[in-house]
Amino acid sequence: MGGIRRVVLDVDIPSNISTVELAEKLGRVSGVKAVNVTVTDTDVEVLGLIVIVEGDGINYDEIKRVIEDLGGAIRSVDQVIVGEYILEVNPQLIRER
Amino acid sequence: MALVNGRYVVLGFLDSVLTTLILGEAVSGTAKLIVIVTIINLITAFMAEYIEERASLSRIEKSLLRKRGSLLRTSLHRRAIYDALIKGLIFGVVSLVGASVTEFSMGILEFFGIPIVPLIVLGGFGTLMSKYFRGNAILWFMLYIVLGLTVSLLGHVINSAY
Repeated sequence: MGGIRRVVLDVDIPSNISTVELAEKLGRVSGVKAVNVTVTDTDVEVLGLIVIVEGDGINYDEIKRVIEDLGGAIRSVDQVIVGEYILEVNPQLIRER
Repeated sequence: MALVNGRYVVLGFLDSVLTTLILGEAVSGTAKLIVIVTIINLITAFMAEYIEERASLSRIEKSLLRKRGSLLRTSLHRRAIYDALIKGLIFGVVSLVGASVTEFSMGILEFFGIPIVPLIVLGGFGTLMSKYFRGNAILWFMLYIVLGLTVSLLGHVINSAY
């Protein structure tokens, strides 16, 4: 079985950190092929983000290190996909729970 | 990255010119006064900026619900030190220019003991700064000259009193 293919994180970062810089740094992590950083919440000091990282054999420790080095905090790991291919979740299953 | 804003240019130049004008007669030795003004301003600006940056980091730590001091090992803190250094350096360099120009031009032309050249330089600086915020150039030229004149007279009064 392959390594991590996708990670979805709920992240808070200081508002003086550029989301472009964060995305670019995450894009340079080994195994990462695509990064999506979406701002979900804005405050005076803090930005709330959903960070989606996709690739092949993503180095999660390095992802964590990049976020923390920029002063960010991972609030929760909302999705992790590991394997040979991306196994999507059926939204109906979540709704039925 | 640190923003090269007008605050440190105005503060550095004005502070160094006025300090040199007021202490010009009291401190003997041209280089001595220039070095004193430059070093004091450089250190003061760095410390003031660093304290402000640390306070900002502390507020961010609180907002992020992180442990106190946890951001000190991040690039955010390294950036804060770098920003404070750059701002301190700008303040120091501008102070060096201001103090040098004033000190070297003080004796060129005097009118009743008032050094004319530094006052004109100060007026020119006021005009230049008025462009920064689209102010009235003549008004700011006059304002800076009056400021220099007042400080210069104050320097004379202090020096003759002690």
